[in-house]
Amino acid sequence: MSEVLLSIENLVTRFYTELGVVRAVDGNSLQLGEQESLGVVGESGSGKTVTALSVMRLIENPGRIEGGRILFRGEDLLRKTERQMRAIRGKDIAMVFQDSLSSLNPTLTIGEQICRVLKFHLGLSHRERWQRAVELLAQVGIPEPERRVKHYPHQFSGGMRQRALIAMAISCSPQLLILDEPTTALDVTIEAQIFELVEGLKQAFGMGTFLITHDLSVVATFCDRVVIMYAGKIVEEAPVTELYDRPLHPYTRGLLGSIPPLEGGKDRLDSIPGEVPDLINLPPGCNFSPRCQQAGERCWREEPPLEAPAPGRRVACWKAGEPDG
Amino acid sequence: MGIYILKRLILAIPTLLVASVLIFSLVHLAPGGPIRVMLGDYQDPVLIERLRHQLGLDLPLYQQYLRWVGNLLRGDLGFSITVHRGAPVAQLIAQRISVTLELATFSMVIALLIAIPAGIISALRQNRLSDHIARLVALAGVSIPNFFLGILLILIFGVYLRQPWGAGGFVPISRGLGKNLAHLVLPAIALGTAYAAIIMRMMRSAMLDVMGQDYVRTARAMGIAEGNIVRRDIVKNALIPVVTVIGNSIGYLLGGSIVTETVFRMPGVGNLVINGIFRRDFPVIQAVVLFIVVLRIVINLVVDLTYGVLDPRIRYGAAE
Repeated sequence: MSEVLLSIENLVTRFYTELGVVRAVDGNSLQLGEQESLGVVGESGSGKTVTALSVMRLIENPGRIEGGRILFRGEDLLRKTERQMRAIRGKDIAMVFQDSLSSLNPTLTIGEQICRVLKFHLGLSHRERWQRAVELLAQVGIPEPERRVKHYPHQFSGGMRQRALIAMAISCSPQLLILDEPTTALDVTIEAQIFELVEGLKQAFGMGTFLITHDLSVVATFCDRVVIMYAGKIVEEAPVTELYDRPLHPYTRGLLGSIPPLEGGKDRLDSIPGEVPDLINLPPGCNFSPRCQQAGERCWREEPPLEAPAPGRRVACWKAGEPDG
Repeated sequence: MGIYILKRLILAIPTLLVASVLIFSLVHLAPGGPIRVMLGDYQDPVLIERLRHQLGLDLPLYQQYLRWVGNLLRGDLGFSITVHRGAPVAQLIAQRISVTLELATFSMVIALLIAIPAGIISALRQNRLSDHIARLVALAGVSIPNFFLGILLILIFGVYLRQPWGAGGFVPISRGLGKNLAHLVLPAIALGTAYAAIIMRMMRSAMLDVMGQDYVRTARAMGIAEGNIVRRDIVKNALIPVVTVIGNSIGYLLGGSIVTETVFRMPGVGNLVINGIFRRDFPVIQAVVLFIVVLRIVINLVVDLTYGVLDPRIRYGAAE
């Protein structure tokens, strides 16, 4: 791995709701190298988005970042003032959100929304900003950018809106681009185009990318390394190829089993029985134990530590690597 | 846009028809009539018959109605029977409309100047002291009837503090804008308070709704300064539903002006209709109420057209 771009150390983010304390991110550590693509995979509620929002320091009430460090190019983001963070957001670290329609202001044109990001971070004159907005739209593959820049979000198709959102995110050439399920609302052909676009931009700008998804097949084509999260904790980490060849955690195996094989020949896809546990009342021992078919006595009682069985690999399971029982 | 306006105006015709039937029947359902009022203690049956015939009140109701509508279509609103005997109603309205419109406009301006900033501050400081105070005041504002507030204001400023502008009445602009506005302040407050309270609460809830929207988070994630987010993301989008309420409540202002003009002795259209009702002046009541209906239809249309300005997703008449 090259220089470390982002290093999260023992991050704890909790939400203090009326029903109790939600342990959304529970002591996780991970690293992202410069120009590296990291995939963060997990079901809804596994803490992937909260991890990303913690990096952006955009956790809102009743949420709080309670512990750990988030080092971005060696500087702890948790020690920055709100003002310093504002200068970093959108400039050094940018984020693309899931639903492009609700993520864009319906009453401002695409151009106005891009220009205002440029204005806050780069200054530039009015003319230069609009010039740059048109260039950015062209760069993300929007046809007729001079005309489109004056359109409102609702006049764009879903795929075009996501491109516009990406244009806004890369407008100040960030070093880290966080993508939070950027293609969930899009159909498969558009999804492929969007990832192609991001891949190209990644090369052009030399960005590191932090891709949040629940789709392991997307990770396979786009990422270098994968982190699997479950109930607020990292349960497995591996380089992409190794993860597919030799998944160690039973949960990862369950996820891989739920992908339809290309050759067909499977009548029913495998599913993982049960549901994600309530993050307020986590089970004792391993969080996954109530759903795990291999779980034994120890799994119910003791929480497995995240260990490194091989270089570049981490797994938190007492029975890591044991064949399915 | 032109086609849209035309469509709306055509759609207004059935509304007006129904309104005219309702107004006419309600007026004629009420006990007593203009002739009783005219003759006072001297109720001579022969004279009553003659007057009834003269005013066309002896015709069957449907004929009276058709006659009224027929005259309306020719632009004739009829003549006052008891309030200003023989005066054309159109002229009576024309003389008084400026008072009512000035009162309604002034009330609205005062209400908006208070309500919009209060709603914004209240939402931005949700559940803090200033929010609680603003909400409490708003609750009181909605709860106090405007005639009561009007009497209270006259009592304080007119009776106790003996201010010349505090005892009601109306000074036309021709006698000085300052005096004119000074006399409008109390009635406008009396009329505008409830209006302000409604708008403030609407503004607050619309703001809170928008503050939870994804695009606000996007703006924050792009490092936009908070003030800019409040202005361009939150307030701008929150105003869209608030404009509906502002528009709908203009009807309330027109209705409320009837009571307020009476309390403050202002010679407006509201005052005219109250006198018409007390003295059973059928043509006056019918014409004024119908006039208010027309005003409302026009205002609603104007409000709907302003959406297009605020919300680019709404474009009238033409497909994308």
